[in-house]
Amino acid sequence: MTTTDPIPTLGSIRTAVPAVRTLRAMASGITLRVEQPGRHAESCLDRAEEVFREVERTCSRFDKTSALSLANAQPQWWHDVPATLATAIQDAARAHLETGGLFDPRIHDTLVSWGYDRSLPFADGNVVRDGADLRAVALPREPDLPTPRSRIDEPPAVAPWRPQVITRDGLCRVNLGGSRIDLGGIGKGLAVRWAAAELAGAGAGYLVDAGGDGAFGGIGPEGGGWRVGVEDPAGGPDPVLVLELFNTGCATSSIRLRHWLADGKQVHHLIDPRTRRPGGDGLAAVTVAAQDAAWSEVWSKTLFLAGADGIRERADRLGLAAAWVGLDETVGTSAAMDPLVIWRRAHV
Amino acid sequence: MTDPRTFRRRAAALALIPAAAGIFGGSVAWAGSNDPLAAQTAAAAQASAASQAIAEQAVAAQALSDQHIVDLTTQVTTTQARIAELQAVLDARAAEAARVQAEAAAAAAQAPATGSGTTARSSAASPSAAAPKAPAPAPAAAAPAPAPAPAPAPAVAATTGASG
Repeated sequence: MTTTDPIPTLGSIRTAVPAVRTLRAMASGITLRVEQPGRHAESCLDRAEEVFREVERTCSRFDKTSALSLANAQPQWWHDVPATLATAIQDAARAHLETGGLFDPRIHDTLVSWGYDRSLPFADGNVVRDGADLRAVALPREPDLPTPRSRIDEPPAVAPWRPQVITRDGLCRVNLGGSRIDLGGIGKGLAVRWAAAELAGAGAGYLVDAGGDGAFGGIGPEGGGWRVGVEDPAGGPDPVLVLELFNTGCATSSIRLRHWLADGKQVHHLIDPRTRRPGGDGLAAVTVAAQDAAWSEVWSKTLFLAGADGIRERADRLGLAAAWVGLDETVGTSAAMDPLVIWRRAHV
Repeated sequence: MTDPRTFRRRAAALALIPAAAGIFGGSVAWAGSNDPLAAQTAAAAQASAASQAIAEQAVAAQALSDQHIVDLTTQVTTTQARIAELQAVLDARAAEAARVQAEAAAAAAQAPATGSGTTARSSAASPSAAAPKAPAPAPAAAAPAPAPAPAPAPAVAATTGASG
């Protein structure tokens, strides 16, 4: 469902009433907002909305007719795909390389083996997948390949992922390298990136909020940057931090919602590709504010896997603006994040 | 030989020539300065220049006005947000003050009740004797000043967290 606030016009100047549109796509609520919208704000919002629809059509693994699902059905073959999917695979491969394999879309098979083969009602709580819900998925074996250059100083524990993408005369062909992949996280990050590009000229400022992924440009409602609350993963109405963001992406990887019982074991969706087990010991959520929304998503997931003991060192070493909340409800921030924090909850 | 009378007449005629020329020149000058056609042309040019200046001023004023409206609307939005923040602070302080007051009132209500009980027991022990006046209870120790209420979270445009 789409709703749009009326936009008063006042000659050629921008109005103070923001243009807001909400929709649901990619299993998330989406909010698009333009501050002091200009004449073309509505058409910009239309295009930004279409970005989410297009990414959902092509990159969802839950839609059996999507281009990704068709490619996943025969991952060792070449497939003609839309440019959106080809670009997403290229960006995912680059993220895999730069994170030393910690970002790995091949966790698809692990998620499916735990029963996460469809959109599950996490918001309702107490999701249980067992018995007939579960099916074993054999992980494909790949030949050993040279270690890619990465920004993470840890050697990859699994063979690197090497998909192939060919783009010629407007046609795109991909080969997933024999592995089924999940583009859920980075797909939404890319949708936020592309939607933000559509809204960049729509007014004095814009917001793309897809729950865990966001982009914030220009001026916010108060005339300065955009004030963004960092959710308390333990629940409650108050955020643990409030950030003021200027022209940046922001993403949170959290296990507050996407956790479930799989064959009697508590699991969540942030899987460590080295162990094929739920990662991030001691952490409940990690937020990263990087210049690009998709990379914010990649780094928040990568930092989460460092766990409570290693996240500060990894964030500071990589120079990332990061905040994290432990399972013990302690809150930490990296040196690069501190200047962005304008409010902290008293007892954190 | 010239007749003296004729000579005077000639001299007078000669003297009238510059006077006539002066009168003629003055008339021409006056007429020039009072030419209505010339006056109309100058007035029209002046009016044209004035109207152009006014038009330019109007355009500039319109641009300034538009920008001014944008600035004012931004200020209004900012001020409204600030008012909301301050109101939230005031509400928090009022709530804290009310809580402290309620605690103090509860403590005060408990203290007299305890004193009455003591007095009653004394009276019961010696019902015929006038009960000595109980010493005034020591004033309760002043309650420590309440810690300042933590500032409430500022209003946010979005919250980043688990998506679903």
